[in-house]
Amino acid sequence: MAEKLLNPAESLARLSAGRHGKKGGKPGVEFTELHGFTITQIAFFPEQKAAAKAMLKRQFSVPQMPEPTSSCRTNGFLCLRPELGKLWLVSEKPILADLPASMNKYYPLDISASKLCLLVSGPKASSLINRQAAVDLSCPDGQFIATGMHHVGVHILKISEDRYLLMLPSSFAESLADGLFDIACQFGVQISKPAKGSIKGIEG
Amino acid sequence: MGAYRLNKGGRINRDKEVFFRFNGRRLKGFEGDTIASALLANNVRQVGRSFKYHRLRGVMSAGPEEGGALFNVNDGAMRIANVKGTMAELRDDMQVYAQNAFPSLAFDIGAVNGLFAPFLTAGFYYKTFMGPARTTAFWMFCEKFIRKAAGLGKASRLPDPDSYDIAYKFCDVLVVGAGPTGLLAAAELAEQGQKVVLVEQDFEVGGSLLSGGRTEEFTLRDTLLKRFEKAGGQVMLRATAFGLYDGLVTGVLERCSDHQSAPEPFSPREISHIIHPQHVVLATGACERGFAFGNNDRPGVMLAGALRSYACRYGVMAGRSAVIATCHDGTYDDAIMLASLGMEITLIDARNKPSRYAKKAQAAGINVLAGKVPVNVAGVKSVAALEIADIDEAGEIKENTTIIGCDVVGVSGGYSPVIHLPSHRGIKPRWEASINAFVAGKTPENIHIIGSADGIFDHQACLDNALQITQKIKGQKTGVKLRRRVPGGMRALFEVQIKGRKLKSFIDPQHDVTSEDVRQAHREGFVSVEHMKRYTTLGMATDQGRVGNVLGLAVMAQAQGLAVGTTGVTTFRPPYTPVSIGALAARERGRHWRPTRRTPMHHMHLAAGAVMTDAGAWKRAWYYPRGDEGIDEAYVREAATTRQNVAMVDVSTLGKIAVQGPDATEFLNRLYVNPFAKLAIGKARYGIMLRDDGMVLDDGTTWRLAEDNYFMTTTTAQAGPVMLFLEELLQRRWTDLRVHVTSVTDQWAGMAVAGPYAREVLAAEFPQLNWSDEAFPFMGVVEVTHRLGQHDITCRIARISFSGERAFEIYVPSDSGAQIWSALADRVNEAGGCLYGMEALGALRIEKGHVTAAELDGRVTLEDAGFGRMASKTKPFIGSVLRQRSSLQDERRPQLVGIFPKDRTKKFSAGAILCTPDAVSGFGEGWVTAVTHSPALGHWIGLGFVAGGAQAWQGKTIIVADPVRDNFVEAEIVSPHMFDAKGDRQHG
Repeated sequence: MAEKLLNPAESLARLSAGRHGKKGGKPGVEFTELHGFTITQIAFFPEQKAAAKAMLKRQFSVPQMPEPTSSCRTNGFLCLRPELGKLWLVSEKPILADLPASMNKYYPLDISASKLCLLVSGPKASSLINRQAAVDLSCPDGQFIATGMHHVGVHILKISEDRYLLMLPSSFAESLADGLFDIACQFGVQISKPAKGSIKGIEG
Repeated sequence: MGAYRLNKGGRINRDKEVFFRFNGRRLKGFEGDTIASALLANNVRQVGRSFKYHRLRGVMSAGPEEGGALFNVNDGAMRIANVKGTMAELRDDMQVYAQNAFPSLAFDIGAVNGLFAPFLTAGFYYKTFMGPARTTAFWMFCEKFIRKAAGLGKASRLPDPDSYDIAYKFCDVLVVGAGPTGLLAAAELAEQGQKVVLVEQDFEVGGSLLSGGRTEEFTLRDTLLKRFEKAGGQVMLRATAFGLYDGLVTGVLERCSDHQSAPEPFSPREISHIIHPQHVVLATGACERGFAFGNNDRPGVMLAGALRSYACRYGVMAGRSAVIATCHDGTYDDAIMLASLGMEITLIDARNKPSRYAKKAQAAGINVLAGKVPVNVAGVKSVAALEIADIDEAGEIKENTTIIGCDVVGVSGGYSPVIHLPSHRGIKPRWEASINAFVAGKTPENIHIIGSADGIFDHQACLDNALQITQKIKGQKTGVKLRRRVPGGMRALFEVQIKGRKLKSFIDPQHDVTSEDVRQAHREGFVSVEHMKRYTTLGMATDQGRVGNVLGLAVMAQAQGLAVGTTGVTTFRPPYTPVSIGALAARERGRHWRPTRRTPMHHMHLAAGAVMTDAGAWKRAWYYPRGDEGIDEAYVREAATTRQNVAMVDVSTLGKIAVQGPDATEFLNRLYVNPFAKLAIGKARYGIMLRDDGMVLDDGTTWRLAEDNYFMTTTTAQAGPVMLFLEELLQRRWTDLRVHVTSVTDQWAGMAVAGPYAREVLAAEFPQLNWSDEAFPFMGVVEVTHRLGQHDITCRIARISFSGERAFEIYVPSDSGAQIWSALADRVNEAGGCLYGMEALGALRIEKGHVTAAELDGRVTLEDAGFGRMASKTKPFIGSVLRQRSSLQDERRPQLVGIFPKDRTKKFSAGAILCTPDAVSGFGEGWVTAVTHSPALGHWIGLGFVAGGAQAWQGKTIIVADPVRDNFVEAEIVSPHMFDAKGDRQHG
């Protein structure tokens, strides 16, 4: 049996749940830390692309491989493509132990503990993100963007115009979230209690 | 006599009174006023003192070109210096102070500088403080007096309590300037479906439409604004485009809260927007300029257009009786408007032929005098009269003068297109004789300059130009190119001089630069405009030469006997207007100065009482004091416990990289200097990699987990560069290799358990493993699933030692790191051991001569670090060729050594220089990289590099010279392996 999350890194450890910052009206931003996702990296070489597509469909019911910097969602999986030759499969349950040996050629790698998933939502969510990241968030929903916040590499999944999933390096998560929180106070910010991550929960 | 508020008119909100203080005096204004308009409305004519001569200054303009009305605003930590009163909106309880005056504006001691004006001309500093016998000490003595006497505002020395943001924005078209041209272009483009951002430095859109005073202009403004907003355009007010950079990236400073009496809590004072547009439309307008004549800086002398702005936009008449001096038709309309509002006006026109508007002006009650120029202003505290003279067709000014009584003088010498932003992109301005001004040269990128910013001064032509540019952006033909011209023509006039008369004629009022300063620079051989600029400081103040540059260049051209515009032009550089440092730093200060990294065990270290320290971005446990222990006692205890018993340290910060793929072994074999081809599965190997130039890049261990799967560790310091290097190798050089590399630094928590009893401690926690030397030898690797409570945790364990003791590194997924750490810490404590931090780690590794980034600083070869024998002779590797360079093989190169003080009670420091006893100076023979008090040896020891290495210094004395701390210690050079040189302890 693969490991389970015992003591995940926390991005919002310094902060108490509830409303912070600007008072009155609805909060412009809401932070929710999502725990419990398993992130499995699947890697393939250029000549394996067609086979990898077929593998995704067969093994994980992912109908098509997302384009680079894009994503797709299927029953139980969120499939992200951070690089040309790499896919991240986000799932609610560990999958590594159950993969058949034929998957070894895709070098499955558990990277669940290396990322902290922070859901940023609300009418000012994009304004907040653009105070830290130089990315054009008018991109289509489902775009999976590799960018930097305060010189730290982070990934952002655009779920919808007002919902974004930030995947922060776990060692930087507390510091980055602290910075985001300070900026978000001008919009009014709601800190929600950490939640068990679910693929359905991050749908737009 | 003096300025006053009209009973009606203007765009101010007369229902909303605003009270503020100027130099402590309570005054009233209205919502919609600027500081300058409110001061004028209260007939405050003298608003500050000048930079150098401390001359009284008044309001000179109504825009960002202001050179007189500069203020300190607010008190204490909130104080802001050099606020342009012409741009700053008035708000309740605003505290405004005149600058550069002591003890008061009216009685200023610094005004004595005026008496020494002949000595304070251009080049004062060069002549006074540079050259033989003009010592640095002399300058340093004088500096504090000069700094006190000269200058503009005073910034607060307290920490800035405000917050600032940086924001990124993306759009199709960025329109800079919301005057009629910019507004129309923006509205049209937005209606075409473009994503348009319109930035305006003012607090209202409209530009010249706000100051015209005519209903139809206000209507046009409102109509265009509605069209733009209806089409989804975004207006940014109080937002100045301060810089235009590569790829059209535009810096825009938005002032968010300075105009608010009670700003929203948490809202930033300013936001520095970094905008990425596809097209930039510059509708930045033109700046009216004056011309130089005697005492043209007296309070009451201002730009003619400003007189109208104050009257029509703010309902303030800057005076009751004005002389308006001009050289073109544009001013007539200003004069007629002012006359209609009740100002008594004499208009003097430098042109000899009467203007086509002369009759209309006369019909409005204006006394029009053609062929006249202003010579000198009478009055000290403010304008009392203006001396004028005749000018003939050839431009000669007659000596006979007449005096006209007045309380305000309006001046207009033409208009200078605002071309700062294209200049930032390296687009050279060029002189356009038809308008007597500089315009931007050809713009190669999607930069479109329109309207008066492009030298088109006719209102209708500007609107036509706006429509043309929208067609161009759409990719359509734009029709006939519009002509640059000043309607009605103009006479080029830059300075009024009368033979035999010395006039104090200012061309750059902010920096007290006179036309005579420019001529003096010319006489002293300053031919280049760039040199002249620096010698005289022309255009170097906060107004960036908006008003003065053209005048200065014209005076210089005249002195050189050249045509204006042929002398060249200085370069405008960002920022266009001052940008507070806070807005550039934004959130990156205080605890957000840089992001910090925490290991998964961070909070456990804190709970254990650790004192933390920074290691790059990481927060690491430095030491764990017990009782009253300081760092010295704590680390000695921790290191000694490690040597004698068992201890544990957090090593999560080491870089970790998954190297996977069928060619992973070949990849590592090419990368490391030592062979990796035959590394067995379940074994780790210490490896060193070089840069291409043969210098050591990094070292670390790499574990073989499977045939095609490796786990590489790097030093904490080089984790990022190594990862980048591996990706570069695979993506650019060795594209034939089928290898995936993935940084897993954050995936794995790491901890090292070290000491003679390490094995027992781990055996108690991991009883399922065989810990014997045979089953788990040095450099052995095992993967094990460990049951902790209800959870199964994957653990990777290798027998590796950085401390020199029997030691094991345990890696677990970082979300389980704290639990495993906790479990092992209990075992360690039960065994009488302890946790140890960075300081003890340093002591242990120095004793062993193990290198870190302190030694591997990018200048070190394999041989320098004592690793020469590791290099394979049978395979090429990165750096294998260039490391053979003769200079890198020189035996006299500094090599890694150990350092013992001869007197074992003596202490020395890292960073000290190693010198021979007879030459304790210069760069010496080497340097000290690390020092510790060795618990194992009982005295101070060090690591360092010295020429020739330990062999060359056998039996010799060396001096550890630390002149900064005045510490000079006799020392002997020893092997870097100062403790357990054979490694029995780690292998045993």
